[in-house]
Amino acid sequence: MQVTRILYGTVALIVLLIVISTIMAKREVAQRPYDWLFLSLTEPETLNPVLMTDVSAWTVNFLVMEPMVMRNRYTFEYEPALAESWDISDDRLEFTFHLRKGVKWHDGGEFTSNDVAYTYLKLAKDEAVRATGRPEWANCESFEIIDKYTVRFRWKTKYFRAFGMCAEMMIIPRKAFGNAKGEDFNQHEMGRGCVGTGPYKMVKWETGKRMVLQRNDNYWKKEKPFFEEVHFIMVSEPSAALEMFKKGEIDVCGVSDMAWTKLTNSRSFKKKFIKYAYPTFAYSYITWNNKRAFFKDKRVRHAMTHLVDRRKFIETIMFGMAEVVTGPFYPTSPAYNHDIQPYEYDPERAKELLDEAGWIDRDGDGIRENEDGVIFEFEFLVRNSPTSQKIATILQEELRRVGIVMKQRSLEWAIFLKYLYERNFDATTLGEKLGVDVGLHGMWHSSGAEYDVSANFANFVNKEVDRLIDESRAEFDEQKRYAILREAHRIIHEEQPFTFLMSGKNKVLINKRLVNVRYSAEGTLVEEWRAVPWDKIDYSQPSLREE
Amino acid sequence: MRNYILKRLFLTIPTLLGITFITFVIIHIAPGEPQAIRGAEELRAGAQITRESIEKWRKLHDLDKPLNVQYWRWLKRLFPYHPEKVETEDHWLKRFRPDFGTSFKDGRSVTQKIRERVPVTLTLNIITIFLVYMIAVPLGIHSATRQGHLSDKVITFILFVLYSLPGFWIAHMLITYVSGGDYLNLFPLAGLQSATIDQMSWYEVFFDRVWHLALPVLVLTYPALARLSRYARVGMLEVVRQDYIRTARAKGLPEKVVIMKHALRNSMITIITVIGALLPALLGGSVIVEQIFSIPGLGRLGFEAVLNRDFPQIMATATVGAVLTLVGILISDLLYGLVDPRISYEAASPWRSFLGMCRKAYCEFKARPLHTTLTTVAGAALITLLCTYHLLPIGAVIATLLLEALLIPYLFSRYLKKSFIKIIIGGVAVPVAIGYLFYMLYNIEKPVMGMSPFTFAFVLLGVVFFLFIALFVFKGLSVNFNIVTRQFKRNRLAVASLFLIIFLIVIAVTAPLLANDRPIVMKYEGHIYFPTFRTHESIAALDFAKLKHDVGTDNWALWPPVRYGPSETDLDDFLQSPSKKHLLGTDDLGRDILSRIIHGSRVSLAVGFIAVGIYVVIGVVMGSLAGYYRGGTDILISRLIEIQICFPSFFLILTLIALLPPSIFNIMIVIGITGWPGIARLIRGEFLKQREHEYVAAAKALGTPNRTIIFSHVLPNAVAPVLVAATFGIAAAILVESALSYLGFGVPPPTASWGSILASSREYVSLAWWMVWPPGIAIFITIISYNFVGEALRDAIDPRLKT
Repeated sequence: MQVTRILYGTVALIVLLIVISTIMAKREVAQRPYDWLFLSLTEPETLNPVLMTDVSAWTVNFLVMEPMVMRNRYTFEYEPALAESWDISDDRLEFTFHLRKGVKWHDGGEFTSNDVAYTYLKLAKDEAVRATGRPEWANCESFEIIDKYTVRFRWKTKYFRAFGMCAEMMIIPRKAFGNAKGEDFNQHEMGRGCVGTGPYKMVKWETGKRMVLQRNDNYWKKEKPFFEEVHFIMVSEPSAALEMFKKGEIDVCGVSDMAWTKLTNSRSFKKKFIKYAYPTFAYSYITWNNKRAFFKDKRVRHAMTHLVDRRKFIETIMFGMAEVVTGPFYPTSPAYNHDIQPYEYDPERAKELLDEAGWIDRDGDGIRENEDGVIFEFEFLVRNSPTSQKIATILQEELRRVGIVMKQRSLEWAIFLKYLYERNFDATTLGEKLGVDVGLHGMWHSSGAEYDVSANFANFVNKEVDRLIDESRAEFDEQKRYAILREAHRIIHEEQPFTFLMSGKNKVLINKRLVNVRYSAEGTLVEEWRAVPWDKIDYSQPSLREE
Repeated sequence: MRNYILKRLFLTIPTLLGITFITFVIIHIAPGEPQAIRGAEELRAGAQITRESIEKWRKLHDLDKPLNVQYWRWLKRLFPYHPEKVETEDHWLKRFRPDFGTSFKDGRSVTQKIRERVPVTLTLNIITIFLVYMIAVPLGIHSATRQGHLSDKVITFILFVLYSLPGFWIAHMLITYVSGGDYLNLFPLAGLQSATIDQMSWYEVFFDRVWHLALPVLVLTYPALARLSRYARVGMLEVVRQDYIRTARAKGLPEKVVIMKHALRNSMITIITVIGALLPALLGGSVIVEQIFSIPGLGRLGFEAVLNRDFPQIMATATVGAVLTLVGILISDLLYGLVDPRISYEAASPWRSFLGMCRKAYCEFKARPLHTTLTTVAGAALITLLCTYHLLPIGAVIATLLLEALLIPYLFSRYLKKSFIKIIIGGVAVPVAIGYLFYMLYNIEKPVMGMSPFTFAFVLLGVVFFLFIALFVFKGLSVNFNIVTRQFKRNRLAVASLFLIIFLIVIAVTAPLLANDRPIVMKYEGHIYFPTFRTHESIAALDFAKLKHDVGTDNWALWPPVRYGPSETDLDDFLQSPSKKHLLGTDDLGRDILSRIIHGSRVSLAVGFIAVGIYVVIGVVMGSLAGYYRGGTDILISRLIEIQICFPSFFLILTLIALLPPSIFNIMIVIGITGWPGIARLIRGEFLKQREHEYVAAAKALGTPNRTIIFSHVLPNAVAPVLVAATFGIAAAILVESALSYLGFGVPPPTASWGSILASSREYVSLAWWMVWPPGIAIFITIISYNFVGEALRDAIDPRLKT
């Protein structure tokens, strides 16, 4: 009948089209020039270096923009970039930078102190600009242009991070921005790809599809990067990115703990790719709101920590790809106090501590009460992430067994933040990402305990720690500062305002066609990477690298 | 015709205003502020932020102003007149270019961002709609003309199977097995075009597009097939039994001509109704497809905007989505007239209808000033009350619910017997009762009547739902039940399915007796206890986990068949494959999967029942009133339908769920109050058709009251597509719940639901099959059963089939 004919016709046509397209499709990865690099990226919001907040934007801008002085990605030492040299006054309040001469912006303009001035104004002064980290600049007293190639910053107070803030700001081109101000600056088209001085320049950004960078042949450094083009492919789904990597469509791919330990072990996989893990600057924790009746008592917090089986957590949730931390730093930091042993998982000890603190099951309903008959029942805020949901679920079971009622309240990120800021929670779990320069002020100084937009989520108040923090902020000798921080670490561990959980690893998969690829927690230097032609790949190199 | 189009275009203005205003209010009163998110990122970057900087920013974006001012400013920016900004040689129209503002997140022009994405979304959706119609309609007609044959059954079965497979799950399977690096490498993984598209000739570009679109379109198309072909089949079955078809056949016309020429056009009404609803459904449904296949479309843009509380972006996405949908609805209404010449466009001029409505409202007020005022004031007071208490986040939902609840009694009060008591009950008692129910659900902590709050609510809502249904089915429909039962019993597959559903309900109700970490009955140190039912003080401190293996001498215990609780974690036994200890294995936290599935049935069944119960009741009432009375009532209700339908449904659900505190009841209620327009439009379409029939005229001539005509005469004839829609709705609600779980907005953990188990297994597709298949099969069986029952019920209730 006619109806059936329409049906068959349609289906046949579709199948035919798909078959032809599949046959015609160009999916030969090997036909691509081998000096093109393909990376995956989650879409950044904006590439404007002053406004950007997400990791993706940093990844791209590391290749396009440059600061005056930057840290070496692997040794973390300061190295000259757009500034040839710099002076720091004896009182550590004045920083003078001598800029490199003859550096050209990608659009041909010359880099001068005017650009530094413009960057500073946008970062620190222009009120309508939503610059990242604006309030920290409040202590910067003055900025002056000495001459075309010299600039000077002056700070009101001693602050160990001040130099880094001045030195490491990504310099933006004043001319290319047309000296834009306020809202115009926020909306400037440079946000879609900024003119920079770096080794690569932006060619195009097709929203949701790809971003293409091209080698800057006028780069001021002698050694030019190897790759002629860098393509960032926007992939929103991690499992799709992994499959693309397996097909060779992207050269480097970050993966989850599960995929790293379970999905990437086949022989054919190991033959073609390298698995590479390196430490991060991050750690996770459970925070107990120290203001709440339950967690005011140090013994209760200790009991809680004794109930958290961190080694099991790492085994199940992180698939073994993490280590236990005992304090507010990542284990590779010099500030981390390695003398401290983590409190072990010990439910019996926890029960004793709870009994001591007065939380005893008084009416025989299986739930602990205090003297006034208040039931030990609290709410655990869970944000919308599988890891925190898993942690909460395990903890809930663990606490139920010792007679504590824990309720999960799962919230979407925006609402979660609202509760967090208002300190309207009993406990929750979060992660913290630090930099090379670790500090304690935001999370641990008592000035933040009352203040509802600070990061002192635990409402932690400790005079001794306050003193140590203030001391450390004005201490410029790194070794001395780290010693102070290690002492603070000890006290915080003793107080257990948090139950510190673990510090994970970053895991990337690398195609064996790339050589000289190195990562650190601060990122990588794509300029150093090389590739070999498709027919010369060394498949015998080891397929596992861990640092 | 031209007048009709003009009228419709004119009527879109209030609809658009309504949509934008509701969206505006919802996003602003919902918790979570855009600057808090930005602040958090800065906090994490180690910066300190100050209260002043936040205030400054709020001021800059007018967020400190009252809502009405903000909305007015938004409107003003949308319809600007700025001659100074435009160069003289530009087209004059450019002076009126709408300005949606700039995104909070990245400072880009929102108009620009939307413009980038509209073509992508339209390509995807238009191709999908086209394919769905090209395949589903012939399939439906084919199986209608061969009703009861093997091919009908096979087609039905295959479509149901397809329908019951969650899209995100299939998409993950496709990525791994069809386009991945390990298995078949046939299709691309991300995006809609190749990198080298600039160097391709036109036909290469075409095929490159086809190649990239194949999988996303497939995932969007297959679930819609089942629904649409069902409608096509139902429509055709109705028509085939009409007298004129018999006449045509009697004349000796070939079957081909009868079907294609006489029956087809008339059978299309239902299908065309659906086209209007299909576009928003696809817009919403593509959130997940866009996410998985990395396609930059409107759905993901809107979803991310909601998560980031990017107000200008949300408003713009909602407006654009609404405009697209309104166009879809307009097209479907125009097609209506094309296929059914009996429907006239010039039903009533809007102005006169409006005047008439005002007059009627005024009469109403004059006749019973006390009642109308009381109803309105009471409703308003209740909303205010709820909003001022700590129920503010829920206030948004309740407000919507109440608006609808208030409207129903108002409309009823005109047509039902006008007694004081009914108005009081309708206008005050119902909203108060609903509000109170909400209040209780949110505040119950202690067990009620020996049941956990959840069970209690389950029972309560179930009772309410069945009362409603009973009211409609037994009283209003006046269907002869003996006949329905007899008809139904003939379909053995359906009877089996019904038993299966009853079996599932029994499992859901008795879940704690089937899977629990404590015994049902036990003797412990000389006493007998019932630990499952109540807490015994003397054994409160008992560690049941230890007793599992050894109760000790003199003691005995009767354990449930599955000795694990649904959230009992065991980190030593995580990701275990099925064994004697754990019949269906354990998940990534060492929880017994069988136990979770047994307990998950509670949530999954409840979601389907309650959500669909809510929206069928609302939809049937609204639709029949609109279709029967036409004129002013129709215009009013159609506006409401449009407002509601223009929010892409899944997207609206997602937004509301993201904004509300997570709870299973919010999911049910939100699905419930967003689902009714589909039903209402179906019923309205049927009523428009039915009211032209002679039996209605006859009933009118006999002096039968309107109420009786609507509910006793017309509704039984019009309800068939609703039953199909409702069974699909129950199935859809279960799928929606799983899709929400996939995006992280499902049942809050650790509560188990089938959807959440399936969603949490997506990482383990190739690693732990026992996490993937059991919940999938449970969902699949349930949905199939509902569909078979609905199908059989439809046949049984159809008055023309009575034998």
